[in-house]
Parts: sequence; C-alpha cells; structure tokens
Amino acid sequence: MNGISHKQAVQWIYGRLDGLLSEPQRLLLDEHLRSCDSCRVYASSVDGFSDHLQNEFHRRWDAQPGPSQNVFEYVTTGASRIPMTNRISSGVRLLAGAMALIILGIAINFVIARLQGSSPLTTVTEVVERSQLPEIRLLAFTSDQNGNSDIYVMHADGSGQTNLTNNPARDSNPSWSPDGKWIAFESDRDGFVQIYLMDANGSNVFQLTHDEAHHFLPMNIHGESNPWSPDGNKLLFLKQEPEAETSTLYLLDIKSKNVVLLVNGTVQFNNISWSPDGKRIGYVLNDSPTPDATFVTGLYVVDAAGSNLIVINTLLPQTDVVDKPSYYWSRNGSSMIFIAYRHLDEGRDQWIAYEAILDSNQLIERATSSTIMEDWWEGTSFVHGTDPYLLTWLRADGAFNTLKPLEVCDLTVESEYGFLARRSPNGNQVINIFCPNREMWFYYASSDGRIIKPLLNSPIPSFTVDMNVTSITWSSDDQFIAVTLASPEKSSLYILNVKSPSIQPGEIVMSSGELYAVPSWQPVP
Amino acid sequence: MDYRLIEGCRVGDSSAVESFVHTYQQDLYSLALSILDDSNEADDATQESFLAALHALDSFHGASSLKTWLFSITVNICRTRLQKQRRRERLRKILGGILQAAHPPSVEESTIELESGEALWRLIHQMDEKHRIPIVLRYYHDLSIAEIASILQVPEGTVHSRLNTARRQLHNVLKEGNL
Repeated sequence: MNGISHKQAVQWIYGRLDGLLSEPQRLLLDEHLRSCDSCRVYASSVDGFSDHLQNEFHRRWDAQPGPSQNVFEYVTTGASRIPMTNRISSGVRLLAGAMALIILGIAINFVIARLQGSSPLTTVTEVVERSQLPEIRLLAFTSDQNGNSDIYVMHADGSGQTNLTNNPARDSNPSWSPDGKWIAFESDRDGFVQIYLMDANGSNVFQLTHDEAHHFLPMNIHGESNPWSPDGNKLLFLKQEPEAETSTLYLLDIKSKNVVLLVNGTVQFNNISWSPDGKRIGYVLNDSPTPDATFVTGLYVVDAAGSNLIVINTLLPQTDVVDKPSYYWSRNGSSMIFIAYRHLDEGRDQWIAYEAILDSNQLIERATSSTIMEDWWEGTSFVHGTDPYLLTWLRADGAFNTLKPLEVCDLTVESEYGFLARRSPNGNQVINIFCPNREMWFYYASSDGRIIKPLLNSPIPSFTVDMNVTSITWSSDDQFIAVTLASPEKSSLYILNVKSPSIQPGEIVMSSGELYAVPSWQPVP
Repeated sequence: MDYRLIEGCRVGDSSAVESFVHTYQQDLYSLALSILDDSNEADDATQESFLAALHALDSFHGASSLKTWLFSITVNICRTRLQKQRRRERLRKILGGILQAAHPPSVEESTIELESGEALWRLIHQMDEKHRIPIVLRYYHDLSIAEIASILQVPEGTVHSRLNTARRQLHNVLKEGNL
C-alpha cells in the first residue's frame, strides 16, 4: 500500500534516468521493480535504449575532425574591435538609461500621489505576524512557476503567496525550524548546493555550509526534510563530493558553527530523522553486500554526539528481516517502531511489529499478523485484510474498524486505481484513493481507527492521465495536509483541512513541468 | 572559473582571447555540430558564438559556469540557424526539382544512407528543436537536467518532460526496428 503504481513506476524510471528522484523515491522504485517483472523488463529496455542512443550520437559525431582553423583566426581577429564598440555602445546606453530614470521618477511621483489614502496591500511582515494564529500558519514550498526554482510561503488557505528567495539560483527544499522563525533551504547560488537559513519573511539569509561540495538537507522516507534538532539549535546535513553518489552525514551547531561527523564513511543514506527527544538520529542504509543487488534494509541509530551506534537489525532473531525502509519513533523518542517479516514453514508468512527500546537495546514484539502489516501505533495494528483492498485498524483488545477505500470509485471503468496511506508523527493517517475515472479522494483515520471520515465532500476531479501524488505532508498538529501532484505538463499543490473538510481544495500550480518538491509546514508554537 | 582570462578578454588582451577560444572551441563546435549536423554550419555557428560571447562578457556575472553560459549562447545561435535552414528548405521545395538535382544530399537524405539506425536518425531530424536539443544535450554532451535547464532557460521539470516525450518516441522506433 505504501508502494507505487505501475504508471508511477514507469514515470520514475525516466525520473531516475535524469537523476530527479529523491532517495525515498529511488527506494520505492527499487522495491516496485523487485516485485514487478514487466516494470523490470521495461526499466531494462529503457536503460538499453539510453545506451544505444549515446552510442549512436558518439558514433556519428566523435569522428568529426573538429572546428577548422578559420574559426580561431576569424574570432581572434574580430575580437580586437570588440572593446571599442562596447565602450561606444555603453556610453549610448548610459545616456538612454539616465533619461529613462528621469521619466520613471516623474511617473512614480504621480502614481504615489494618486494612491495616497487607499488601503495598502498585505506586506510580508503582516503575513508573518498573522501566521502566529494556527488557522493561517504558513506552508513553505518550492515553485518554478516564474521560470526559476524559488521558495515561497503561503497561508494554509492558499492566500498571501510570497516569493521568499527571489534568486536566479535554484533554491529548493525548505524546512521550518521548530520555533517557526527560520527556514533552512538548499541553493546552488555559489556554484555548489549549499545549506542556507533565512527568516520567515525571506530576510537575513545566512549561508551555513561553504565547502566546495554539494550539501543537502536529509529526508525521511516520504521525502520530507526535517534536519532540525527538536530544540532548533542543530541541523543535520549531508555532504556529497561533486560527481559522487554517496554522502557523509554531519551535524552542525548553528550558534558555535561546530560540525560533528555523525557517520564515518560515505554511503547512500535513506530515511534520516531525529528522535522527538533530540537524543538520537535514525537512518537506513542498504545492507546488501553488493550494491546492485536487492535492497536490504538496515536500520541504524546513532546519538547526537555521533557515538553509541545501534544496529537494529542485529537485535532481530535470525528468522526475521526488516520489511521495508520505514520506521517510527515513539512519542518520547525512547524507542523505534518498525515492521519485520518472517517466512514460516508451509508457505506461511508473518509480519511482526517490533519496538526497539534504545536505552537497553531490547526488542519487544508488539503485534503479529498473518496478512501484510503496514505499521503499528500504540496498540493498534494497521493491516491489510485477506482482501488486499480492505484496510483494518486492529486494536489490542481485538476490536477493529475497517475501510474499503475503493468503494468510492466506479470500478467498471477500466483504468488504473489504487490507494496509499501516510501516517502523521502523531499516529493519525490520511488515505489517498485514486479511482479509474481519475478522481481522487482523501480519507482521515485516527491512530486507533475509531474515526474514519472523508476529507472531501467531492473528489479532486480529472487530474491528467500522467498525474501522480508526489508527497503528502501533515502539519505538526495534524490539522492540515499538503498534497503535491506532478505530471509532465503541470505540478500542483492542494491543502486539505482535517477539521473542516472542504468541498474542493484550491489548486496552487507549482510548475508547468514535472516538479518533485515536498513542502514544509510552519510548526505551531 | 578563470576570472583573469575573462577580465583579459573584456579589455581586449589578444593572448587572453586566444586562450579563451582555444579552451572552448572544441566544446562549442561539438555542440553546434550535434545540433546542426553539418560541419560547415557548425564552424560558422562556433565563430558567431564566440564573437557574441566576447561582446556580451560584461553581462556574465558567474551565476552559471562559463561553459554553461557559452553553451546557452551557442544553442540560441544554432536555433536561429535552424530556423534559417528551414526557411531555405521551404523555398527549395517551392522551387521544386530545379534546385533539387544540384543540391547536395540533405541531412535527412544522408542519414538514410546510414547502415544502421536509419529510422532513429530520421526521427531525430524530424523532431522539433524543442525536443531534439534536450536529447542531444543529455545523451551526447552528458549534461545534467539542471545544466540543460540553465542553458535552455526553462524549468527543470520542462526539460524532463521534453526529454520524456522525445525518449518515448525514439524508444518506440527502436523497439519497432528491433535495434
């Protein structure tokens, strides 16, 4: 259920070719390819095609002798006249510019005079002040609608869109500090991708990393960046040498600028997150002995000083393997919850919810299921029924609630359909259902499954054939959910309000192309 | 990035200009050739690109690499040349077979003579430049999506989308031809 559809897999195969997939997306794609023969064949065919195309181009053009000597002579002769002609034309431009400024000044004076007394537009400062009220908190997101990737904020109701970065470089991946006053983001404005901070109205931009290497904000399994320590004093970042595919995980103290190497060695990190108590950092590595083989999830925990490494897999009995590269922290951060898979005799399988108590390296088996268990939260198992399209929240006392997500769809239409679930850090879930007729629904489910309700009175209609959900991001108090959709023609953002289901949320277009960018909610104080 | 070289070119230092041309002429020629697919046209486009770049050096502020900036200029010049080529081609067709006999084989005709990949090359040449240039930049010049986006001055998503459209068409041709 947390997997991807065939259609999405095909799109991500191309996204992977172009280096556009995030680590979690690559993992999901690898997971899908392992289980889908036709997609694997297709991926192999696409890879083969790319090689063929490269060979054809090189075969045709590499043998050409290069530019003729005339090019060199013509350019060097012609270049000698350029500085003089440039000086003349700049003189003319200067004169024209001065005249234009005088005319502009007169025009501005006139407009100001006309506008005096009218109500001013909302300023950025007002936007930020108003954001202290939870109803109008801010969402930071990446958009290239103006032709260049910048970071914007807007209120949860879609109003007050403001470009915070306004920089010709590629600015992306915003992440709010826990106090909601700062935004960390990535930008390649100095030639390398570096980490920057700015305050909530885009001012006081501050560069945090400076080395001649790329620096990225770590992401969790859903592509969300949450590099901030819970107290807001430290920031995780990944450092990647140019051309390298691996990176090293560091922790930066924002005030002292001290940098701690958290994990020695360069590897491909996945699903990095802070424990809620700020004591530890969890991450996933590929434990496969050969890099190209099937992904083997290795769960790791290290403390904020870079010591006391816990390899969660070593706590497991030999019969069990970690089922997928996801995990959850308990509310107080003292334990990590994950699902393991066990193959029993006679072709029977079992899924087990484990809680790893990190202070004592103790592993507790919390629940088992003979059908696929997606996760477990404070006594409630979230499982697929024997009917894979039946979702069940099964509580410790045996009581349960169910949802048949596809019941809202007209399944007589022959096309793809499916659903996926996203758990919030507080345990609640949103279920995204996409119907064959291209309508999209969202349901809310409380962590124990007792409350299950639609979030829309009518579906988001008729997104294009190639449109896919690229992220579902909960606000920290579980009141809002930001959903991003991407297609080759358009990428959009919708906001769902859990407390007040809307008839149809407004669409905010982020890109006229395919944009994989996960937004970030301003935390509620 | 060699700022001394750029500064030297700005003030007209002939040795700096020679070094500048020497450093980048193979790259620019190779780019022009891959777009225009004609060595004479590529020569002309290369020298035109250099002169345009030297004229505009004051507007280069290092937001992208010098090479990306030069590529951007060259792509624009090649586009203009392609448009002129097309106008010439239309005129040639209007004039009918009179000029046809005396005209050297066109790009499309010469590709048909290739022993393999005929259909592929025919399709590549039939593609509009919006789709063909990203494919060439990606698969011949091995540029990243971000670099292509910067050269073409379009969003990265648009580059990816155009590449996908072009790739699907070319891939289908390859599958049909069992290449």
